[in-house]
Amino acid sequence: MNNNNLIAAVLIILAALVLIYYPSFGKNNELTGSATEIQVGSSALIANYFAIAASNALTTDGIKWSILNPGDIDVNADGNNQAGTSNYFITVSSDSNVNVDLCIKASAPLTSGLNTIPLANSKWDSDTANPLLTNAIAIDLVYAGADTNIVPSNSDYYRFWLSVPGSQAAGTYTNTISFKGVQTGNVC
Amino acid sequence: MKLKITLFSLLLILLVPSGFALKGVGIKWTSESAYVDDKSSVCLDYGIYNPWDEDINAQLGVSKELQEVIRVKETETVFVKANTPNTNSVPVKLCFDIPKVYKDDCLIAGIMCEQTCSLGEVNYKGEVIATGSGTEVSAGSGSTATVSASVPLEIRIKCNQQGRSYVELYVGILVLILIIVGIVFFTKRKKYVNV
Repeated sequence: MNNNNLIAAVLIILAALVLIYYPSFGKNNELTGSATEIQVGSSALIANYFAIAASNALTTDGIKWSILNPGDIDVNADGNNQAGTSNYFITVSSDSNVNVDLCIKASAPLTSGLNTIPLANSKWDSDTANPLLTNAIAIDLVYAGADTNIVPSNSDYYRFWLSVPGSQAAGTYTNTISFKGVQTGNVC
Repeated sequence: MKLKITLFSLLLILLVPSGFALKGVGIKWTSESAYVDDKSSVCLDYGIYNPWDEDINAQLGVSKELQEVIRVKETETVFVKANTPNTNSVPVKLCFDIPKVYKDDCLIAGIMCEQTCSLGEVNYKGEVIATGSGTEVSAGSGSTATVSASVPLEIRIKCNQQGRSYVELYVGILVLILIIVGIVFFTKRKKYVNV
């Protein structure tokens, strides 16, 4: 066998190997015959939306205690307005097309430098009319459910109370309280 | 006297309109799930609106559960004017990269691989959160407040089943045979030349 014959034989064997084993070779997915097919797309877009806003007392002053003394227990925040409706509230916009559940958490305990007031000393309650100290619970670092199923145009009211340990160091104690709205039925 | 009090009250309301202002954020969404390929980039569309009394700067983000598994490309902060209804919401794209979730079963490191999808489809659940700009802090002890609106998002990652690929093996054999043929060819040619 001369060289040319050898090369030709090798190439034929290779071509045969490729055709036998390579799965995509030789396949044909085209339609044949006279059948025709028309496909038409179909779609429907559903949009949901809601907006929530914090009251002026929350966004401008924050939740504030003007004067506190060590040993004070369950002191009302300045905007609690026990005589009437609380100044702290979250409103669901009138143009929302879903109801809203509200959630609340603290970023950290109230902190002044290296000193903190334990989270257990910061209490809150929410209600669509009149939050009460008797129902209040300690604020947490993870979102906790406040009131649910708030319909568009309605508000959810909040009150906050703070107890100061007897030996608490003097200072200006701050943190951030976050309010989150979710579509009713979703978890906080 | 009564008229004076009424006029004074009206003047006070006109002079301090922000005393009753509301500040917040709205979110508009058209999907709560996405079915995506692994090792791909995906963008979802949302709208941020502001039907309230004050202008805001707002941003979209995702919850911790999603941050741990997908790489969210930074979303821009958008300025949303007061009294912007949902019909004029500012469009915001939330883009993220999906990592390689399904590990291929390979005979030799990285080659001759197959994907049997034996794990089933992987999915991640979390939230997309629209947050408005922070609030002012006043002097004294207390807390500042932030407001956000969140919507659920489930990302399901497609698994594309794939039989073992022998392409690399065929290419290897082909190269080997060509080398052998080349050696034989040149060896014989050399012999003829020498004769």
